[in-house]
Amino acid sequence: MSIREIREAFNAGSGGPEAALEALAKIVRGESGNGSLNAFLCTVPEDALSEQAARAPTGRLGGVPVAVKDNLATSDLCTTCGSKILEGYVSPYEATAVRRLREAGALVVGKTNMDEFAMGSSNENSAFGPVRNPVDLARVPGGSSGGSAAAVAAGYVPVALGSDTGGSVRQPASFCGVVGVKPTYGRISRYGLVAFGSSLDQIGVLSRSVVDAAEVLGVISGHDPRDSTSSEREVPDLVGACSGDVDGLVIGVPEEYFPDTLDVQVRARCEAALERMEAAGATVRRVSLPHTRYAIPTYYVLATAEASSNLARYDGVRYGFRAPEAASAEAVYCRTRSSGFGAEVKRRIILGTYALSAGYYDAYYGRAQRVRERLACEFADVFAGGVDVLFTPTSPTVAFPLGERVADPVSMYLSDVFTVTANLANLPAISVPVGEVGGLPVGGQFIGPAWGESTMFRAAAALERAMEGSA
Amino acid sequence: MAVERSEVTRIAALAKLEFEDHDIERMTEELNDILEHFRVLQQVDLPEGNHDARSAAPAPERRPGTLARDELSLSLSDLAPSHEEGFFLVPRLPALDAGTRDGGAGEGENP
Repeated sequence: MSIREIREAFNAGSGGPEAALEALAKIVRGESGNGSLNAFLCTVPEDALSEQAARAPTGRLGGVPVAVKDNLATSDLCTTCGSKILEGYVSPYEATAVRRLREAGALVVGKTNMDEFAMGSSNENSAFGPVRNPVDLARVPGGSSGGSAAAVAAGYVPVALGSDTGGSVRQPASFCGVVGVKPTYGRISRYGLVAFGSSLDQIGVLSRSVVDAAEVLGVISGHDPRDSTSSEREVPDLVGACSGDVDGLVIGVPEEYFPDTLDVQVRARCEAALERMEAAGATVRRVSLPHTRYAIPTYYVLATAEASSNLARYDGVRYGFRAPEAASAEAVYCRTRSSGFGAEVKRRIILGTYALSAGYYDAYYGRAQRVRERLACEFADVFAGGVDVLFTPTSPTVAFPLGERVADPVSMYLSDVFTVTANLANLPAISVPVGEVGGLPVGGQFIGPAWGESTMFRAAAALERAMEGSA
Repeated sequence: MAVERSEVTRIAALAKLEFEDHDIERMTEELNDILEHFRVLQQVDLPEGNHDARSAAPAPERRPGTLARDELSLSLSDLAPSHEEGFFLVPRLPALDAGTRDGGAGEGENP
């Protein structure tokens, strides 16, 4: 069911908690036995969900079951970030995005599995085991919001929240065949989102349709005095934007996102999607964003530098796990962090500490900051030149087999090559299914100008209609 | 220039992480592999000087990147001049003697 259908039944008083209870039953059924996706780290007990439904107001998300990534603070469920170091931790407050969902009538059914502290592109870095792709259980669902993407793709819930620091909503959406959107930096409050890379992190939405993503994004967007980086700009009518046509819309296609090394089938699906957009009235224009080739090193220097600082707070004193039998304060810190964090998190902390340390700061962190500025300027110039929205593949490949890239961090980092630029330039971006290769979903990505979510949703919804028309 | 094992050990200590010897070896290899890909940043042609408001801001003060002793790891003698069996010894408060004039500790004596 769509959000509109669930809402109309709930708000008319005829729906009650049925949709949410049905979602919970699907999760319990689907997550037991051999076919388990391991998409959820915890779910709400049935009686608690009924109580939640009884208290829920009617509203834009009345009665809609929602799954929430486990790095968003909830006061009634654990918030572990997929990490042993936060195992059992219950936040004393709720994330603003979660609070706004509840105020609009949504019912939170559970917390989804994720790469530890959102560091990963395959969901194999969770301390609680990898998530499996519902399309093919032998493959990864993408990451780091893999649990949210799998939960939506499996039909457990119509919508889920994720977070996107370098593509963590859009890449799993692409791998699982659902819609995934991150807004302009500052559109959604980060209050209660456990920090990874604070200048890059944004909360995002995964859903089965573009209009459902627009509905939820509209609810959770807007200024929040608890996050000084949240914007005071008015939130546009994103649902209304989905019904707009694309006559005259100029779609920029950056050549750097269609390199010779791109999987030929992925390229073919994206080119076919562009042809459908042209048939719908849009104009396609080839453009260039030459600094894209520096995006991955720039992103990984900045994100790991910020992560090494943000994760310094996990020392066994204030949160969750503490290593036993440490003889001194220093030993408590070191042993807690060394045994509480997983391998990828420790790798990134080391990398970020190195990039920030004396002697290397200018060569890595300082330089990456300047390249980030250049990248942002390039995007701004393209949009100023008359392009309304950009279109690229979301990922260079379809979902890869579990275990294929775990031992090769560089290869894993390169999975993010088409998504990190939107975070570096603070731009909104959305992934929409554009077909399949060998039964595995392919995603196409629209990147909009800053605060240009309306145009981006207009293009994404038009592509979705065009793809449905071709099915 | 390759990062040496000793440098990784120093960085790990700054990050308050400890590794077994074989893990340091692996981490050194991985760090060098990753940094090899990052060196492309040195080739970017960037304009000289500051070119936006953010980079024109005064640079933040930087720490030297050396290991300092954690304040909580100070010994008892660093925190108080007198201690015994894990307890700090302090002058007895006069108020405590108000009701125990007969047989109480004398002024200035420790408990």
